[in-house]
Amino acid sequence: MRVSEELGTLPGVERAAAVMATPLNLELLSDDGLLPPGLQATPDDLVVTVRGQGAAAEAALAEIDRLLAPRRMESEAAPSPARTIEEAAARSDGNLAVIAVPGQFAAAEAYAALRSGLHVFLFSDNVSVEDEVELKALAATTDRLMMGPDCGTAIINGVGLGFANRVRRGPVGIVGASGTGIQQVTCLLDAAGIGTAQAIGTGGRDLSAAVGGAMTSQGLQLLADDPEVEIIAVISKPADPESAQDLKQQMDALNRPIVACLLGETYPDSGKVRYARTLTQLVEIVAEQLGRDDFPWRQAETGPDRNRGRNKVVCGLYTGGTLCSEAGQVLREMDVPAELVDLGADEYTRGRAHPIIDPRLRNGMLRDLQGRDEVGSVLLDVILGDLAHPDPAGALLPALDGLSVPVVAVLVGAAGDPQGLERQRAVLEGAGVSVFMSNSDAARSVGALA
Amino acid sequence: VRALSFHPAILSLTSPLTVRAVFVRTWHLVDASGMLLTVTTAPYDGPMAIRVENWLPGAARPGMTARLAGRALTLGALRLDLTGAREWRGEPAQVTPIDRSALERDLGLVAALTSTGALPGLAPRLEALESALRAHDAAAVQSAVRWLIGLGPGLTPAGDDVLCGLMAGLHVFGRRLVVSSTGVRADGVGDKWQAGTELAGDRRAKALGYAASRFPAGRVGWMRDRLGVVVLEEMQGRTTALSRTLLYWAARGVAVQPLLDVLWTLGSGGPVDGLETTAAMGHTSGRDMLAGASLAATLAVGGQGDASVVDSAERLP
Repeated sequence: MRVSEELGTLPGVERAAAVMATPLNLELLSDDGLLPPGLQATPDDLVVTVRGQGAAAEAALAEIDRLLAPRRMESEAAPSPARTIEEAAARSDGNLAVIAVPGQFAAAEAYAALRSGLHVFLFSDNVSVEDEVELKALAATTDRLMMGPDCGTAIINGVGLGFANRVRRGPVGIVGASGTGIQQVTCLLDAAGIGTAQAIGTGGRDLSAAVGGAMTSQGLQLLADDPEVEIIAVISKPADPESAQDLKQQMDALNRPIVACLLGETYPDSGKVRYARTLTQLVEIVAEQLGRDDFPWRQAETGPDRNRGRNKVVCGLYTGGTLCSEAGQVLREMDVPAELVDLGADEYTRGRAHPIIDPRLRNGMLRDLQGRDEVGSVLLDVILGDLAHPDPAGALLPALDGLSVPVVAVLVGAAGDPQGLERQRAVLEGAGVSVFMSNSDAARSVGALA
Repeated sequence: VRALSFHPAILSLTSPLTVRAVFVRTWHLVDASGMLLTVTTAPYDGPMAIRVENWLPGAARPGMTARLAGRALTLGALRLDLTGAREWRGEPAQVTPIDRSALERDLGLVAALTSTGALPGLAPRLEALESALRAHDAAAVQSAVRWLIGLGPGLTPAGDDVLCGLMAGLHVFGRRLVVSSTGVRADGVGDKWQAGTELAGDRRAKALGYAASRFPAGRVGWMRDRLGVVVLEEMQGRTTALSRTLLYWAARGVAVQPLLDVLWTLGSGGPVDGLETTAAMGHTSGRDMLAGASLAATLAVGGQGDASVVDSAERLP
């Protein structure tokens, strides 16, 4: 087939074919007027036939030997791709493995990577907590990073891993047990003109009782030792109280400027450590400490003007777990009834792509809301950046058709993202969606509709 | 040189063999009956193949003769030793039932990789074969097969690749249907098999394996056997030696391992193994085989066709 195609591109050639001389193929050649009269051939013979202008056809036929010659030099020069992580590690100077395979196979690949001396970014979820504990213990003994499992986002030396936004580099070091939490913080920092030095993801379960904050602790120490980092931000979904207490002690002992947002908990500031209740507040404290006070998300963002019916429920369909937890916290504090779903949770991603990539699951759920009278408003996140859907706002539109209740969205993205931050905002606003850069502001706006 | 693995059926080839073609990573040798032996560095097993790890540049030239005796292939100064090499028969480690909703989802993945639209004339011919099989119309199956064998470019023409995927697929799905309760009931052997489903662990696996090899596969069995007989009859003189060899084995349910992996794991509820490797075979061969495999799955679980046709007593030549 390759030979037919290449012959067909030669100058002066009208038609060319290189096929095995089976009766059916000869019949087709004959129908096309490409079969020379009186040809004697068996199915194991190769027929090469060219129709063209005199000399050009002759010249094309003269090329056949070259086209059929084995491409030995080429194929020997290009090595076959590595089939295992160990093999890839041995062949490359790289020191970090990105692993995104179905959950049941992910732990084995992560062990292989750590044993080959690599840092690991483990995007896969559905990995057992026992494996997570063991992998992080192994990483600690070999001084490697074990980011994940279920690590959605990291930015290491300016390179985004997983779902990451194209943000500027700068003085903030982030460690986060939360992918979309890191995305929200790095994007708001970027909007305020502040860059990120490193963002170390730890996986959503890192501060659970079983894992005990192993990676958060290791990441914090690395950032404290990094001369590029002037201030550290720590982000977590609701944490196990004991793990949170250990983390607090470590932060106090580091004696570095740290701003932490451990969703669901508040602590009094102590020494150089300050605590924020929301991700947006965390960014504002970091910015103030760096001498900035220009927060674009505080301007020109107004909520929907339609009223949410009294005693009606806010329905939140989130693709980011931390954003979902944060919205829940804000609405609880406002005493607003809400049904919030994290569609990035394990039970929704088994056997299908993450909803940041594939909008179909959420779109289906949005359509199902149409008949539900108890729903008074809808809260959504729209996530931009590398690896995310190429046009998440556009993909959402068909599902918003026919929704009569107010829709509020937090748009998490940076000006440099491939989807175009302003374009995505315009698409959403064009469809009547109230768009916020800050998730807590979006939640507050929905809560205030009552 | 030691071989890594081989299909034991090659031991039945008659010496001497003649080297028919030499490619960068594969040699083709034929015996007097026209059956073709492949020596390959491919990372997977297949029918009538010997796998070796490193290439042997220049050791084979077209026209040379080789002997296969005493578990070794001798070709000029080269002795390719099969002692200690793994014997590959294309048998599954276990027979997995079919989960219909998972199958539907997996076929979507396969559809994204298949290529019957690429070769003009292939799709309508394939549709004709599909209708003939569904209608259990033996004469129409024969004419549809005649219009596919040897069709298209490549050492294994596209029509043959589709037939390979289809025949191997009907074999595998026939066996898997027997262990999927709905399929079993449809084929009227539910009672005999029912006891097996109540067992657990190893005993269950053994019972399912036994059921799969022992019980007929109903209308799927008819399609599989009729198609096999017709293809073996029609391929003589109508396609290449490599294709004839692969069709001969596909009619017996044996195909390249990645394709078998796809067939055994499609609709199992877990990941589909072998999909990318199969799709990457040849210029379009792998994708054409997947088109055949996909058709086999549709025919096997489609539930259409004549329910009175229970099984076939046909035996392949």
